[in-house]
Amino acid sequence: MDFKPLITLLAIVNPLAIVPFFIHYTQGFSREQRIKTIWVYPVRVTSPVKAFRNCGIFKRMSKFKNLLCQCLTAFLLALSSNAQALTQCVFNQDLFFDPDQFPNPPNGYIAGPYDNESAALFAAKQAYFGPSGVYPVQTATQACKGQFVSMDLRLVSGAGVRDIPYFDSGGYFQLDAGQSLLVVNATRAICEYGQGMVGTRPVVYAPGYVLTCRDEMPLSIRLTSITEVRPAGTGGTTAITLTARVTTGASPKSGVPVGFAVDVTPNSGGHDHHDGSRPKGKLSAAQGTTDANGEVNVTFASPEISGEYTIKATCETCVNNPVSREVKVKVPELLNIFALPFRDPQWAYPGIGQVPGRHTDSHYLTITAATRLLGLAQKFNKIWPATPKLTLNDASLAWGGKFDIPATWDRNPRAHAEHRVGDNIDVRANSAPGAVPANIRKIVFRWLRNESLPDDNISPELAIESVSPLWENPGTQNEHFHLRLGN
Amino acid sequence: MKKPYLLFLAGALVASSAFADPPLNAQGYIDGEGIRFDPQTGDYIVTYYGDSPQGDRLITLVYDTPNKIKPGVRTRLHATNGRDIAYRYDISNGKAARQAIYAFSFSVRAPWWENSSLVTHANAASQASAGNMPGTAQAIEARISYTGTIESTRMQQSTKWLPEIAFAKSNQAFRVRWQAHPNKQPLDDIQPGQKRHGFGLTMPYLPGLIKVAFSGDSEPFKFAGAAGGDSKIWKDIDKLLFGSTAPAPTVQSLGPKVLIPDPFNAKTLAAGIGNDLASWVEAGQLSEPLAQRLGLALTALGNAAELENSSGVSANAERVFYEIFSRHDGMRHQDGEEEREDEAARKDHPELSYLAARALTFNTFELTRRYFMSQLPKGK
Repeated sequence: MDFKPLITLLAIVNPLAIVPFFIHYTQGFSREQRIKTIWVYPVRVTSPVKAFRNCGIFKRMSKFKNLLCQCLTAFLLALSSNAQALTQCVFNQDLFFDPDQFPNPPNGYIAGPYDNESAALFAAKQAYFGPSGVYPVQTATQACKGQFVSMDLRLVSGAGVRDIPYFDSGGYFQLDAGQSLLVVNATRAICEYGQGMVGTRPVVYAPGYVLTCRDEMPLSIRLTSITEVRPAGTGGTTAITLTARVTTGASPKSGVPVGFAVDVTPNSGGHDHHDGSRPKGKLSAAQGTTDANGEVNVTFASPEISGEYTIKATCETCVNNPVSREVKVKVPELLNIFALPFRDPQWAYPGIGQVPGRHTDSHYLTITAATRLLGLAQKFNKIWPATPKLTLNDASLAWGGKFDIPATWDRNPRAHAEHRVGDNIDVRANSAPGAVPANIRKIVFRWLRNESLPDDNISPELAIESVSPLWENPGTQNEHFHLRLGN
Repeated sequence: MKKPYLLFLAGALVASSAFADPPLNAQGYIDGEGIRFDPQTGDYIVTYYGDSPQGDRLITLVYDTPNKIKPGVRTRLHATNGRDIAYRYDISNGKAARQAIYAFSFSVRAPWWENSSLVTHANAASQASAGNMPGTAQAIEARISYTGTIESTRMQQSTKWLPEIAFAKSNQAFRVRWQAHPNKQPLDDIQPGQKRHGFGLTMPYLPGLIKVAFSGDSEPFKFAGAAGGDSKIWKDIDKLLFGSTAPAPTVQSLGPKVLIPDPFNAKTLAAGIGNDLASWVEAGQLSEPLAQRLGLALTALGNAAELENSSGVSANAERVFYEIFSRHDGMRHQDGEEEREDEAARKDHPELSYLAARALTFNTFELTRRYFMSQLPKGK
């Protein structure tokens, strides 16, 4: 939530109210940073405020009030902008560790980039002088190793170029934006066994290690993709590319590691069951690094099971880490036939087949299939007016995809194998009420077998689709006609 | 500590193997799967690994193909007083057939004319009109009522046989089908050695070649359990039941193909007749060189008609008739053109089949007749 307008208002009404906000916003700052904030930022924003004043915004105020408001407003603006802009220091080369002394880089050392200049300088000092106090002291010689006697640093660009003598006082160097720090020379101790340090020798670092500081916006990450893809095994596009883009301000940031993970929303996609074995699809990579455009791509291959999947991108150095993208894995535009005139018992009785805890919403078809089913139901009722209306069992789930009847995600691949894209439905043909009666079952099936389905995809043989029904599970309580209605 | 772990692993292994299908062989089948034709019975023996009340196992079923029939078609064409042509079909089932014919159909690649009608005189005179068909409907409500309109009008008036028209959504093709009414007992299936007369339709189309497909009354194929899947055997089974493995018997016949323009335009109609010749060549009913000569004559006829050059129309019609009669001596057009009862009398010429000659004779005569009728002074 953005409190800036509230703070500004408070500051105008009661200038002293700014004190707690200053303390809050500079929490974690060092003493020097706080001093800098107090002195630098009001000056930085004085000019725009003056401009406002000259435009008449503050003209009616008294001189004292005018001055007070200028300072406070500037100060508040400085505080808020300080939260957004950070000085970013990066080495133009990796820090170097003298292999004589440090065959392995010190544990915990990170090559950068760094969030701020003090962190960068601290890393620099660790690199040249070794991590502070973590080396085991076994002998005097070993203790001597890695000791640097002196080191000169120099500001090589920007205002106030000057030599800076190194001193390990626990402080840090003040580097302003646009200035660079060059390691000019360093001297390392020469140690002898049992003698400790017996001399020094210069260490030449070529071509020099330059630390450049510049004002940068903090890194932020954005994840983009299309938000819907079809389930695997349903044809069409079943994989999508997601692009993570890391930027600093408006500029792309390369070389940033980004991690990817995918998860699924429980009970989504028409499945009323959930467990840890639910398929989540596949990501082409678990991590990547941004390229020159600040981008890294990952491909999400959808699973057979429809649902709502969340792809998460992590960028540890980004202020908005992590970000995520919800992707719907679904067959589009399926209609619940409950919403169609099938509800009217004049045509057919839908609605059997619901199994609580597994699938209770399983009567979805495409508009074409639904229209054809209605036509079939109407014909059936006219041909057999004295026979119970068709009782409709499972079609497809709300978002289509694999219809795992036993709620085990991948078992029994044949049952409902075709109930994925909303073009199939089962019609009850057993001994239960409402089923197609046994005495006309064969003739109804024969009728269905020749039933035409209009189609736009006219083959050279002019083969207009037929219902192509299947007769499944004869003689059992699950006996039914499986109708293919086409798309 | 190890034992429970091992037991769990063993259990998981057994469980997973129990649910996994056996491996596929080089042909893409599980060992034992396959589809075999039995020449003795004409049936297909289907063995697949699939679901049954006893669990997954190899299941063998017999597919009684619905093609054990000997269909025949006799066609009659008749020009009505108006724009329409009446088509009538008599259907027979040979004595050697082993199944009854219960349905037949043909498909036409042409836009459906909304004022056409279907008739079935097999047992009692009836007519079902498919009129009042709305145009392209966008909303589902409209589509449903669209379907309802067609279905109700054509089904109300059928008796022992049900006529049906199915349209391509694009309206660029339609399929006409008749089937023995499934709820009129006894079923009026055409038993071996029987005939039925008077199936037909009336449409403003001149005839072209069509293939009439027939369905025999066979035992339905019932899967032991759940059906379907992506494996090769399931695709093969699908092809067997609904595809090309055991295709329905077809008979070449004449049906509505060339739309008669309204208002009448001889050049357009001549072009339509000429264009349809390409499908005759494809069907092996007309040779390519003869098709080219006929096409040129029809184009010239159309051009002459456009210029109201009646002698040119006559001359080019004569060219077409000459090509026909020089190959099928004795063929003469009569109003109410009728296929001969004697099937043996039909002798196909290598360049022009008897059926194609009938259609072309009828079409050329109708083209010229309608041209000259259009030239008559109005009101006389």
